[in-house]
Amino acid sequence: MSSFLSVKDLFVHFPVSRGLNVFAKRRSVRAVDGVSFEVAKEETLALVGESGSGKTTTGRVLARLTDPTGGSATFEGVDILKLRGKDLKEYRKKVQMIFQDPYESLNPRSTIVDQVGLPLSVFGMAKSKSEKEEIVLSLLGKVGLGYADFLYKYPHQLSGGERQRVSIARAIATNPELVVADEPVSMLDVSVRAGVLNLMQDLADAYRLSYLFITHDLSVAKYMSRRIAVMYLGKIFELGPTAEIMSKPYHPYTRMLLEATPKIGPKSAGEIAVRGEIPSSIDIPPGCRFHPRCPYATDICKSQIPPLRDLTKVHSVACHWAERFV
Amino acid sequence: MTAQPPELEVSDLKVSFMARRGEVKAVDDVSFQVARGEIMGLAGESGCGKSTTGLAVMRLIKPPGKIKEGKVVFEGDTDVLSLAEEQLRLFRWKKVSMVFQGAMNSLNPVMTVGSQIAEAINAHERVGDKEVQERVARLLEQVGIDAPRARDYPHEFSGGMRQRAVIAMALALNPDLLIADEPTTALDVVVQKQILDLMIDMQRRLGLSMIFITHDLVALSEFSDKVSVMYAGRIVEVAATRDLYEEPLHPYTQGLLESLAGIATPGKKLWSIPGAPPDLASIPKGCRFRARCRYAFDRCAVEEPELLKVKDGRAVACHLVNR
Repeated sequence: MSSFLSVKDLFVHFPVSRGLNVFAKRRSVRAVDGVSFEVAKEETLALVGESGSGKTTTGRVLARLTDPTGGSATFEGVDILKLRGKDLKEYRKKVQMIFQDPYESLNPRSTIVDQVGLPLSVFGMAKSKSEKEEIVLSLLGKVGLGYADFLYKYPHQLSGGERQRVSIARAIATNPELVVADEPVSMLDVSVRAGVLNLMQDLADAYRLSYLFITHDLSVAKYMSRRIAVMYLGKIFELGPTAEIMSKPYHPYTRMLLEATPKIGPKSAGEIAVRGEIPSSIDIPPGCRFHPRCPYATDICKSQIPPLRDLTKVHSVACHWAERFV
Repeated sequence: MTAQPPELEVSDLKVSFMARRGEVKAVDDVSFQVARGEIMGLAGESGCGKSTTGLAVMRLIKPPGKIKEGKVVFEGDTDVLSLAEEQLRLFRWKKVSMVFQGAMNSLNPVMTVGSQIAEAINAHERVGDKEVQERVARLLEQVGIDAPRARDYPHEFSGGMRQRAVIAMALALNPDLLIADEPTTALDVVVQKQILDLMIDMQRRLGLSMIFITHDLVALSEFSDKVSVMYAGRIVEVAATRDLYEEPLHPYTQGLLESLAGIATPGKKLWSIPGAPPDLASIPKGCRFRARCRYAFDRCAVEEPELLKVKDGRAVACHLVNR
């Protein structure tokens, strides 16, 4: 059984310049430090974590925008890290990306029709200018912007929410199977998020899309995904069904994230108080990398890295003491 | 016993920007009060006029913007809009200070954090170097940053730390009122929580009053004492925080709360208010929310609703409520 998307032991380490000091120790930013997970067809997996957790870098590797230092990733059985030339181009048709910043992910000097139409040109999906316009108009219609006057507008004439919809239209232009969405609503007003999230859900239903939904906001992850992977400093700390993890989190970090997530109404059970800040990925603490902030840290936590182990067939946690907390 | 005058009283404020397409009425008749030691949330979508309101209180509106009308009275006796230059200098930062939107990204990259905070102090008071350094150290500790970090540059601070540094700068001269414009936007939830906890701590310890400007109604729910909701340049609802979330009266507030992912049930669709706010250069007749309101009736098309008191501490601008 070949799963849809499978990532195994992925590592992405970026070397840090030593400057002029040739005797300085070689250090690196260990952005992704041993990550494994799977995404099934037509499923949305949320990759949740703070800045510096490695979630964006993981997404970029899958979109083939960043090269990993180690590990493997297969899509529909094919090793995507070895793809080159024509095969890589075919892959890009199937796996697209939406970026976080609606103000930076569109070319300010290019019209909407040219930007949404670019993948059509690249993949030979439109033979003429009028065909391109027609297809782009239909794509804009799918994202709620189906008016001819949008075609020749420039990004600065659109609101943040509208720009993000344009980015979505561009991403679905190639009829992809998997969309890596990197914090697609974080920079939008909370009142605008609903519309964009609903749109993404509708598109997933209509076009049988899978999302790798990257976010730091647990409430958005809860709404959009069926499974969640909680990341911290390059590793996955907890992985399993969203409903289960949100109502009964095992990992202390997940519980801290829950406590920090603003919500209206009473607090949910199992939350623990926020403590400290995520350290730099250059100086990762030994043992369990969360131990400096964990209220339950013991000696074993300071020296031994806890493996991501199965609690049930579908739920795994990387913590020496997980079972004790429930 | 006479009650203390409020920390800040804003009446009939109007701020417009002269643009090529006409007069953009960014703030169109806004009135509110902030009591001493109170945290008031000023909430609304992008473009509703909340930042402009905050800037107007500090008299930081620059051309092509202009304060057209209104009064801003501080602690019952200072008429901010008619202060002379020198008095204004003594007022800004010492009585009322501001954390600007995106301030954490506007720190001077070639000056140490400590020297930037010192700069704020030196600009307003004649203080010896040693005392300034001591004050900077104490300010940093107050916001949870170790004093020796004053020697670091902004790029050596994390996003959350930069935001704390900016808050320390705003508190440098012990103001009575702090205006914070989107202080936690663009920060991760964990850092956001820490900043909010810090600000509540400041309020409690220093007796600080605050105006917290944001679009994030969910963050406000755990933080403010009362909330004023703005829409298209006007305040449409004012209520104690709990009351607002438990029983929103204005259809816009109701719509906003319904559209928040924080309260969504998985499987059920998120609702979002259809349409968009009006162009502030051509505000429609009648209620400016009418086009998006599911309860609109004939009076809404003709008459602009006034912000009227419903009971103590609650006011709404809606014909449906104020029949």
